[in-house]
Amino acid sequence: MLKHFRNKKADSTVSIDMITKQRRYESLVRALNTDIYRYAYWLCGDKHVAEDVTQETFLRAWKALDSLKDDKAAKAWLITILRRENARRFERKQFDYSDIEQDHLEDVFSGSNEQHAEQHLLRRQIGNLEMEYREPLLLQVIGGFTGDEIASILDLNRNTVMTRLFRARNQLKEAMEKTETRGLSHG
Amino acid sequence: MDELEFRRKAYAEPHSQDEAFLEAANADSAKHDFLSDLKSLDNKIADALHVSPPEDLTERLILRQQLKQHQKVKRTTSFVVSMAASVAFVAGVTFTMLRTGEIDLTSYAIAHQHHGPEHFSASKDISFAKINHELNGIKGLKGGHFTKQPGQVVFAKYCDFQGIKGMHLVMQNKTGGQVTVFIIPNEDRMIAKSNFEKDGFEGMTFDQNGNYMILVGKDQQDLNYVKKEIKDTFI
Repeated sequence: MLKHFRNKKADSTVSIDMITKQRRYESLVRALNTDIYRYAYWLCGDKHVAEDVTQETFLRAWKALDSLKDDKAAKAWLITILRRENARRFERKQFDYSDIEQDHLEDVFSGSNEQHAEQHLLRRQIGNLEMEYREPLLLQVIGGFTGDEIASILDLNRNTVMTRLFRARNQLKEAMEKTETRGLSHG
Repeated sequence: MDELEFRRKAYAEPHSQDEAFLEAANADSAKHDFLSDLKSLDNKIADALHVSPPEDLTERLILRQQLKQHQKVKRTTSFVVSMAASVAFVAGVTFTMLRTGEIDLTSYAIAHQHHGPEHFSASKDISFAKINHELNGIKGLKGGHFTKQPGQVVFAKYCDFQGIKGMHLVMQNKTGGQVTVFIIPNEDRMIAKSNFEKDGFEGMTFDQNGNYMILVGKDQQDLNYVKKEIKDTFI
């Protein structure tokens, strides 16, 4: 009888734990799914693959949720999982998504008006950036991480990160200026 | 902060709140414009990077996790059920083995002796017809019965030898000595010593027409007397 009671109590503790975990997971999804999806998109360059990778990332996060002690670190933690999932994707099948991404970028998010023309161009240029320059930029602009945090996520030293950020913006700036002058000369 | 350092910083972190950096930008209008340009580019980069996720992504992320969780719970449940089934199976087998394990009749007989009263009232005299009627109720005896009265019987009841139904009789000779007689259907798993002695009781076991007869009493002579009676009357 006593044992039975004790078991029941243990059961309810377990289910309360489960409910807490469920709520925590849902908060995590609501707060960070947009950032994670964006990061995934710019990492793999395809809308559907980005969603798959995001799904896998959150599923892994659910399984390992108990290991996340500090909720403030959640974004960096999820991005670490995401990067691992993305790498796993390349282990599974060697497929170059960067070919798709250039065509795709224009289709998926293109608007019809003039105002967006520049943005499409910029998206294209970001898609053209080497991954080693693109990723620190994503972490800084989408993730809002500092140089030190980026260094820790990418396992690089801070100077390398700053140099790559410099080069990323430099390349984008030059590319945009080039198209601008070309546009002007045509005009 | 020199020119080169400023430019590197502006490219790497246009929104830096570093004091020396901000001072440098404010002190020099060329630097200020340069930084403004980069900030404006950075805003455009931010806009370009901010692609919209599918509308129902949140719901799908939660749904997928809940489906997985549900499957896991189901797996766990079926695991628990199969564990319970295994335990029940093992328990069943163990129980059956206990029931079919060897039965030492002599120790059971002594135990029965201890549970009964020291001495049964001598006033009763149960007829062999009545005993036969009771013996009829024990299937395993294969019709074994008394052909005539085996002396005075003061007690007759069914008894249980670890799941085997037997007959418990108490017989009394003319001098008042009482002997307990167990009539038990023969089964392969039974073992019984032909003569035994324990806790002040004497006992003997013999086969009578394929049934076990166990006699327990205080006196060897009484046992021999009852044995002879049974040999003469039980078939």
